[in-house]
Amino acid sequence: MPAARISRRRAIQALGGLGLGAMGLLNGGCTFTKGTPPITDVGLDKKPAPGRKTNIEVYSVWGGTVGAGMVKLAALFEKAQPDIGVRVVYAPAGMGGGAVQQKLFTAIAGDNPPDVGQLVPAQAPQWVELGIMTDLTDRYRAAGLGKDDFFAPIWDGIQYKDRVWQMQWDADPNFPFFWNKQLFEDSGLDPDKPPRTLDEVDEYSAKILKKSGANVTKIGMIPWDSYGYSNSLFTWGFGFGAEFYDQEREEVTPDHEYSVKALEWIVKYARSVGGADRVTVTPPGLQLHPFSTGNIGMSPLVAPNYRDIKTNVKDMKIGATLLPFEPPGAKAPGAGAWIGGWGMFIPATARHKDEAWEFMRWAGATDEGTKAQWDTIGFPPGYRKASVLSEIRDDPVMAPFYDVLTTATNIRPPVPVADFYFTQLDEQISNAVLGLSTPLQALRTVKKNVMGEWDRFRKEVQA
Amino acid sequence: MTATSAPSTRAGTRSSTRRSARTPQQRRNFFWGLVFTSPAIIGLLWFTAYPVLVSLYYSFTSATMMKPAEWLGLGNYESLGSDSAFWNSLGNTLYYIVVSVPLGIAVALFLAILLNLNVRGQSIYRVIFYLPAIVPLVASAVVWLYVFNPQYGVLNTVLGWFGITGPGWLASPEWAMPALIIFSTWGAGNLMIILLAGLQDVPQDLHDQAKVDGAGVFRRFRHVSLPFLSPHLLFALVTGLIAGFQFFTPVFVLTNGTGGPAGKTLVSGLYLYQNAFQFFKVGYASAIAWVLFIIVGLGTALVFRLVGRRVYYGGA
Repeated sequence: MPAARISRRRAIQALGGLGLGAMGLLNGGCTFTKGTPPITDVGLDKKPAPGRKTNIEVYSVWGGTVGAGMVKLAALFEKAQPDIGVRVVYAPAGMGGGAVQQKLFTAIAGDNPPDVGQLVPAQAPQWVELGIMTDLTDRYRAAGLGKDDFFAPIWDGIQYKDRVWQMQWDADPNFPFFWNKQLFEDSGLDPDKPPRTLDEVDEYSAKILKKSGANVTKIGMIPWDSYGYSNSLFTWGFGFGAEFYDQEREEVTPDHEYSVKALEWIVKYARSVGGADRVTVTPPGLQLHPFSTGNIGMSPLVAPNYRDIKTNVKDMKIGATLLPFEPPGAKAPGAGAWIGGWGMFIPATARHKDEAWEFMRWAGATDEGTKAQWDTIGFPPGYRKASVLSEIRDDPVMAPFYDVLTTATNIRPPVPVADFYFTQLDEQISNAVLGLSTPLQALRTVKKNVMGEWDRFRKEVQA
Repeated sequence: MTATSAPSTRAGTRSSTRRSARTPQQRRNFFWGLVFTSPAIIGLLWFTAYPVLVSLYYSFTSATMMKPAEWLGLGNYESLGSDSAFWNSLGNTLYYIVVSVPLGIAVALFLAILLNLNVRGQSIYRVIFYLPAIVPLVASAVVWLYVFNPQYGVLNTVLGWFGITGPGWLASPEWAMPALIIFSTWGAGNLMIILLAGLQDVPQDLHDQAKVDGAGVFRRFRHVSLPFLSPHLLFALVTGLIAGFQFFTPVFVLTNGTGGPAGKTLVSGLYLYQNAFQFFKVGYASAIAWVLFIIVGLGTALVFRLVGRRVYYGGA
């Protein structure tokens, strides 16, 4: 009996110990590092300043420092004028790229919309067709704002059917191209000579690649993970010279000759390292981009990721240049760059449209507002005449992004089923990269499904 | 008195007796009972019954939330039949259920048996094993992102000790769903508590008698404990089946809402969500919800038919 009791106890203790051990490993084995945003006492919501003639409600989709920045921006707007108070409500956007905004949609459907909402510019056509957005064309005209006041891709993106629907206050320059000089040197490459073409990327990658068994521990680049599958294809597709929609024919063109070539290149790259699921260069924490590990030779980066790496991995020597390209479809480095970001819009059923417009115009298309936005949130403005642009140009971290902002010509395809299009690309590119279909099959499937959905949507909104 | 008139007379007598039996105080109590429960009743009708009925109506329309809906009849249901993504999501959901429900029950039962042993510090072990069940799903899913990290994660580190090169887990089309199943099994604490309660209800004298008859540990478990546990196991099976069709939060967090890689973790709940909130196809999403409801209903009925008769309710 005693022997049996000891063995039971040992069994249960061993299991409990295993559980505790696992918890210990969870805490000790994974480093919750670096990159932790500074603690701020500014929340993500804000009440309007007291005593204003009108109060507007602004939905903010961000947590962390960007969300706190939106609150500070609203407070600066209140300081800039005496009449309008701003309530900021945190209404997070879910899923990659912030495509889904349940709180916003249910508020609009329930006839309790905010006065200002946020959107990814490519979403506008669908939202316009669904009657969600207010036409801002006359307000732009009355304010003297036109094509020359914005960077070309921004102006393209805020229009739909020759009307203007949003104020793009954040122009996200996607992407400059960064390389790890130390890893280049360690791999026998010239640390001051980045690749100009994708052929050179392949050549450099072969020298950087290192594996441990089947797993890849050092890699030249991860071309299928430039911020998700669809964004990867946009970036490298533009870099090959692809177009992703035909405005005249109202047709998506994921199977464009150069788009297929771009995906073939991505798939070939994945195969050359032994498979996409064998790449194990992820960082120990979630806050920093994998490039921070020093195990990736080259990568496109968004500004917040680059800033975090520069702040937290101070000894990392990073070079910055324009994205490599692939002739003959593309003509020069940087051809793959596109402008993402966020716009503000006024819901069609909003109560205080005039005041909402004042806030949007101030934040997105005035010297004072764009400077305030840069100081509080820190995103580059889409307003070409903003004086703060010279500050961004001279900022050591932001300079590569300024170069992209002023030279990029592409935007993601603003079609009425954009989210469906991007989701289809995500799924089908994933299939191709994992060897479950060929690039051509994958992209033809995207075209078929998206055109089917577009037809269905067209019938639905015309009904 | 005719044969036909007798029942109605009896019914009338019963009814008048019931009415007269209710005193003014009882009627007042009944009224105030209704008043005090009315917030719950109204809440249930307004926030549960009404949305359920509206979703049934929407499933026959082109509802988008943003524009007036157009009547489509069975159009959405017909579209579902030829929607490969829907069938893929259903297949993924069934894969998840078929593996995770029995595995979850087995793990919970194993832990319950261990915790039923007479050892010192039992309550501490109970807390340890139950802890994962009370951690919010989103928080634990984020923690498991670290666990599944192919290079630094605990899982691959432990596998490495045995010379096994772990997979890319959430990046691998073969291993992404097993990863989700492992995550779900980690939260078996709730079920463990129920099964533990069941084990403690087994009369000790039956065990003693079986022991006298020469039954060993396994025979006693098989012929004494297990019959007493069968209602609990049936409960676990049915609720596991229902929860499996509602599986959403972990896959949403762990795959960033994509259902990837290559659609291998796109479960029905996530596909429904994408249609409703990403593609503005609320009518279509409602049709998916009702198809899932019917499948769950049929599945539950099947479980009761196949297993229900074998359940032992302690001589009841």
